[in-house]
Formats: sequence, C-alpha cells, structure tokens
Amino acid sequence: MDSINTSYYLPHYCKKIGWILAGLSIVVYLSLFILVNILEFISIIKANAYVSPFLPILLTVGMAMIISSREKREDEMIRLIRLKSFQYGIYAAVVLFIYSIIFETGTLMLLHQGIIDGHNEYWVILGFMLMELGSIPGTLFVILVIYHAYLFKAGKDEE
Amino acid sequence: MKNNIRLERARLDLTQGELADRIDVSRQTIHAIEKGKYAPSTVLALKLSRVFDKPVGELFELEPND
Repeated sequence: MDSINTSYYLPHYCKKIGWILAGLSIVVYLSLFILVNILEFISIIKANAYVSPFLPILLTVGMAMIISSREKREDEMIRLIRLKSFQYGIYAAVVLFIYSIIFETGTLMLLHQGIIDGHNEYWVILGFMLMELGSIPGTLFVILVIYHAYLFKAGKDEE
Repeated sequence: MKNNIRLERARLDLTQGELADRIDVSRQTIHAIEKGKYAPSTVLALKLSRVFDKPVGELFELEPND
C-alpha cells in the first residue's frame, strides 16, 4: 500500500553528527567573535569582526544533516510534520530573500553616496553576517525548529 | 474526529510503545491519535482495527464539524 520510501534520507546516526557539527560551529563562532572583539577593545589587533567562513558552512551542513536524517521510525505522521516544517521553511526563505535584497540595495546606496564607510560600521558588518546566515542557514534553522516543535508537541507526555 | 483508542489500548493492557510496535509507527503517532491531534490514514486505521479486533467504525467516530 502506501509504504514510505525513506531511501533518500540519511541514516539515523547522522542526526547526532549533525547536532555535534551545528553545536560546535555555534560555540566556536561565538567564542571567536567575543575573543576578537576583546582583543580589539584592548587594542591588540585591529579588526571589526573576524568570522571564519568555515563556521557558517559547518553550521549549514550540520543543520541539513539533522533535518535530512531518518527518524528511528519514519511513519505517516512524521512525514506530515516534515511537510509542515518545509512549508514554513518556504515562507522563511522568501522573507529572508526579501530582507537580503533590501539590505544589500540600501547598504550599497549608502556606501556609494559616502554616507557610511563599510569598513568601520559595525551594523554594516552585522547586516552582511545576517545576510550570509540569512538565506540557506536561516531557512534550515526555521525548518529545524518547526520540525522539532511539532515532534515535541506530538509526544511530550508518555501515557 | 473522536476515537476510543486509549480505552481499547487499556482493555488489552498495552502501552503506547507496545501498540506503536505492533502497527509499526512511532509512539508519538499513537499519542497524537489518542489526543485527537492526528487523524490516521485508512491503512493505519485498519491496522488498529486488526489489533483491537473491532471494526474501524467502532474505533473512530465523526464529529458534527467533520
């Protein structure tokens, strides 16, 4: 009958690897960000915000692995929860894309007119970081949160 | 849609996990069905009917707004 084909999912153990990768990247990302800002504050180095490009990649791969891993028992309700969370992911992707376009256009206009100096403005750097994180990782994050919220809601109390 | 899965499960002295194992679904799915948060497919309803040895119509009941 309506058997569920899960061959295109990653094995269940990949979920744990995904959590480790995502968690590690967030911890290292935040630690680096704080460390660099402290060093800058005490004038040891001159850098506004150094963030390794490797870390967002690690975060994205980690989240993708969590979302794409097979549950211990994939059934029709899990399939429905996946579908719902992916629908929210589409909404998130559209919102984040619009944000990126508006932010990019606005910032470039201000830079061209000399109103801001892209090298020294914290909010410009923060905005570009959000843009970088905003597209794919942001969408994956929304899917991840909604998916686990539904799972939690579905089975939070045992009998 | 109302159902009396919880009552039938108690009658057979099964836990949610044991019932889930019998019909090859997750425990969360049984929990969600019992709470009325999830309406199972025909296949799943028939599997439940087989476990409890009762017709589907006795396990599930439509409500006026369904």
